[in-house]
Amino acid sequence: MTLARNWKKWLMLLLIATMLMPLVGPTRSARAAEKTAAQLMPETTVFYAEIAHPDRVLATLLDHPLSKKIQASPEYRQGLKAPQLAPLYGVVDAMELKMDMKWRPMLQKLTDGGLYVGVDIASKGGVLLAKSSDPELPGRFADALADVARQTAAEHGNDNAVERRDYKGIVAYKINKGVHAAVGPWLVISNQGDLARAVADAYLGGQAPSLDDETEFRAARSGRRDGAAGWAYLKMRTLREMGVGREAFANRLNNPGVEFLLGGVLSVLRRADFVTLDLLADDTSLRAAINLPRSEGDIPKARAFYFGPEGEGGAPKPLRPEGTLLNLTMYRDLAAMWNAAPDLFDEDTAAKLAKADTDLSNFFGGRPFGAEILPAIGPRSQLLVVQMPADPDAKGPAPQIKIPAAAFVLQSPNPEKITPFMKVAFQTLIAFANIDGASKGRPTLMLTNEKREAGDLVSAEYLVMPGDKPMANAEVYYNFSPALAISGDTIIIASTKRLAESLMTLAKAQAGQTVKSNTLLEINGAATHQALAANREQLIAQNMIKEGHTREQAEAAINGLLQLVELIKAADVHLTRTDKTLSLELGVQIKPVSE
Amino acid sequence: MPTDLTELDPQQAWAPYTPDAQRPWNIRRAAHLYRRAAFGADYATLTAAVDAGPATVIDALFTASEPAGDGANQRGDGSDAVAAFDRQMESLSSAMMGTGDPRALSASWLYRMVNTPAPLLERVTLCWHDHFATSAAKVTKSRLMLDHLDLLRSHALGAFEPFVQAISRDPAMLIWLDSTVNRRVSPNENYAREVMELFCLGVGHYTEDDIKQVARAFTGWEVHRDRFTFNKFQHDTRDKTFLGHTGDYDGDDAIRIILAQPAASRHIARKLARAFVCDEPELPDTLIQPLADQLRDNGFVIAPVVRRILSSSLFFSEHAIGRKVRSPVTLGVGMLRAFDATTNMNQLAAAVDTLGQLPLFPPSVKGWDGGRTWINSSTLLGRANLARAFGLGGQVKFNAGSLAATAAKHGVTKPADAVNWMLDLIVPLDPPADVRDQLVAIASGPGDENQRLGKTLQAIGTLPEFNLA
Repeated sequence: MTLARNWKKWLMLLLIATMLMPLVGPTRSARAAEKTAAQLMPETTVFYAEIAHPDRVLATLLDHPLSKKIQASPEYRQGLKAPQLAPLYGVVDAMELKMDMKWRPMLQKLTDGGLYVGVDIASKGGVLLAKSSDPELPGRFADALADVARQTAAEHGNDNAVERRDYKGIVAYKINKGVHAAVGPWLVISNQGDLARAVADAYLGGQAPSLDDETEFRAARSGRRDGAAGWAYLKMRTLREMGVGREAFANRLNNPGVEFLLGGVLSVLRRADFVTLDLLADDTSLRAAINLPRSEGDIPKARAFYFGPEGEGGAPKPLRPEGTLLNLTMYRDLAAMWNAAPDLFDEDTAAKLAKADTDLSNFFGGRPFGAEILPAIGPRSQLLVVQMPADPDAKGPAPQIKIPAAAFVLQSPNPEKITPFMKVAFQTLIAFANIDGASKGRPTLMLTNEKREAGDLVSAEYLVMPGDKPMANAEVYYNFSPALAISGDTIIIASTKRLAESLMTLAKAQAGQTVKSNTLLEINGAATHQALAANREQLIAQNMIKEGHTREQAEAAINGLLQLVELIKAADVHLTRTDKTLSLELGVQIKPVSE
Repeated sequence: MPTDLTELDPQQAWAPYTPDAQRPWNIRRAAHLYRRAAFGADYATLTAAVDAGPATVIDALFTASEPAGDGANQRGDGSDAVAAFDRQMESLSSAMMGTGDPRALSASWLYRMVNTPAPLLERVTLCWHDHFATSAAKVTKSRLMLDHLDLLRSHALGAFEPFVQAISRDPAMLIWLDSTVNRRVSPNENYAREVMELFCLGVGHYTEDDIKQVARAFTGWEVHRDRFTFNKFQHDTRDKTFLGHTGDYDGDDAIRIILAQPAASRHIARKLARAFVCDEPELPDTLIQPLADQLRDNGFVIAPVVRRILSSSLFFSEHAIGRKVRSPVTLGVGMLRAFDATTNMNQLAAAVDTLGQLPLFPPSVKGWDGGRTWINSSTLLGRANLARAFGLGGQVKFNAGSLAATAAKHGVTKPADAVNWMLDLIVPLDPPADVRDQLVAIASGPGDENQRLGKTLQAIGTLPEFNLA
């Protein structure tokens, strides 16, 4: 049969084939090449992570000015010389030689189609998939890696360390329990042969259900943020069924501190089917968003203290005096938590809290602590750490270690009721501090009561007698001049009088304002740098002692640290709840190179 | 030299050491000198010392440690290195004081011992700390302990009388021995007792009544707001009679009279001889007397006596080499200096504390008992572990990069050389030949160079000789 004579028949066959193509799907190789990593991983995959552009991440990690500074630090260079790393360098050198490529372009090319990690519950293994735009490269890499492993093992007297296996036309290498193979454009590395085989089967057109077949995964994957550098997915439900984190997921934490900080999050986590993570990065910032899907009734009544009875408890708008280093504002109804203790904690912990209630009541002039004092304090609070600007009028001893000032700011729904008891408690505390201080040779704190335009200020400062020599390098306690300030509905408990004064003015200006987030944490890089720089001598001394460095080495290390911190502009954490999700966002901002 | 100390001729014993065929000036003797006078030294320093000769080495040790001249605040030869190091240490101590934790001062003092270019001064200061033992456990204030330590250091090689006078006014010492409650109507005898029994005379050279009378002389010597204060209202101005003298004496008078006793110079001379020559047997009076005479004839100045001891024929003899048990501090600091290494000083402080000697925290006013008491089943294991930390642990950082690199720096490549090198550095007496063979076998064993040397060092740490100085 010639083409010329039978062209009609050939044309018909081609037409039929074209028509049938969508029904039978693409050819094996075409179909496999299009498969995503999630389609190659089995449905029993419990953790999945992807980095779409590893080359960009690598560039950020290695080329960013911050990274360059780290790489230039003596500690980093010393770390690179660690004897434990020597075998790794040997492997890298050998791989470069075998591949005739430097490691970085090699890695970039090998992963330019993405880098993926999966953890499979069925095989109890993990798998790493790297996709390359060069179809030959994974195969060359796998062969070279096997050669290098074989040589290294032979040098240690083991001639049979690498086993070559053929599986459905795919060459795989087994080294101890690990397996690596080139599967089309993919480099597959796994610590379990079964898992590597499952990936290969999926690539070769196997019909076993994949991770991507799960509706839940696909829905979660579709929510991946645009431009995310990385994305991860964790099947919480499966982990819970396996008993992972049993204590954290228990109904009662029996740790009031953890309950206060994380109780609401754990409630959502306890019911969430999965968790996702979006990683966003550019030259000046890195953000991670952890998202939990919410379900109805996931917050039990006893934990209403966390997000508020309607779930809309927003943190107070942060007060940000000059030099604010750290700011933590949150909505937590401590009174509600305290009074729900029998439902939140076991009998022992609840009994301890009940005892604490009695003790603290004594401290507050006999008023019931949980029933009267805490409700008057209110659910919105702020913790600040502030590197105060230098005080030009400072006369007292200058402490050797300069501790930033700190304050608690509370918004009271009933300031008239709580104010007298707070003052009594403050005076009692100062009296205790003086008795303790006298026995330890510390000077006396002297109380002062002042009426200011912004409110009442009670403070205590170390007594400096006339004729006392100005003292440099004084003891650490000279950092403190504790103060209690009441400005409208705001109660301020500060470690220094100056900070209390500063906050009183700010509190009056933004009274009652809240933010959308339930919890908000901010860290300011410049203020952190100032706080560290103020203690440079102390840091150098500690470095000399702890590292055994010479003064010159210690100075270099601390200067390097200060330069690094200087590059960090800010960091923040937001915990925000909506009807559908609970999201925890963490971000770090780095100064642009020009700044 | 006779094997029995009582048969030694004092003049011959304290005569300057002259190397000869029986007692050559070599690495082992140079290491002995540095171990006793300077905690230890690395191989480069030892080889340079062998080239320079003992007299030059001893001169250099003293030059770095003594004041540069009359009234000079600066120590040493006036070189920038010593002055710069002193400034750095002032800054370091000041920073450590800021923590308010006296244990931080212990760590900073260990740092100083490891890194000082004037190690003799620190070694003698450690001696006086043992002598005028004052503990931060009771004093508690870092500032007072730092001032106390500075006082010990500033007088360490100077005249003894002003030293005792300064100690008697030292707030840390006054708090430690309860002088803050030494009142006219009820004199506290603690300080008076110790100034005679432990600091100046020794038991048997005073009576209980002398103690009562001397306590009266010190009444009113108090501490207010961390400073020495003379409270004239609490001072007993009546006559006191002690040690054959009567008068309205105060504390300074008491010290002068006490130090005028013949027993005083012998007590101090014996203390110095025990610190630098041997723990046991006790040196006979005939050997102590020439040193006591030297003290007495030279205004009780300490440096010349220490120099005479370190330069002596006795010091370089078998009566001294390996005849002391290394204290935990001299062991830990000595190892670091010998291997040109450093470490986390807080951890070193914790290690020597476990072994029974945390600087600034002596167990009692008598100081540390020393000698054989350093060794028991528990501390013996701890001492071996210290050697293990150098060999196989990760906390010690060698300036050359690693133990193997340190050895290579000194041209040590063969297993037998490595064993000799380590023994030269840290062991004063040769172990038996079969033990040495075993060490060479370990140094020739499997693993890389660091592992082999580490295991060898660990094995050396288990030898009885390792604990000697």
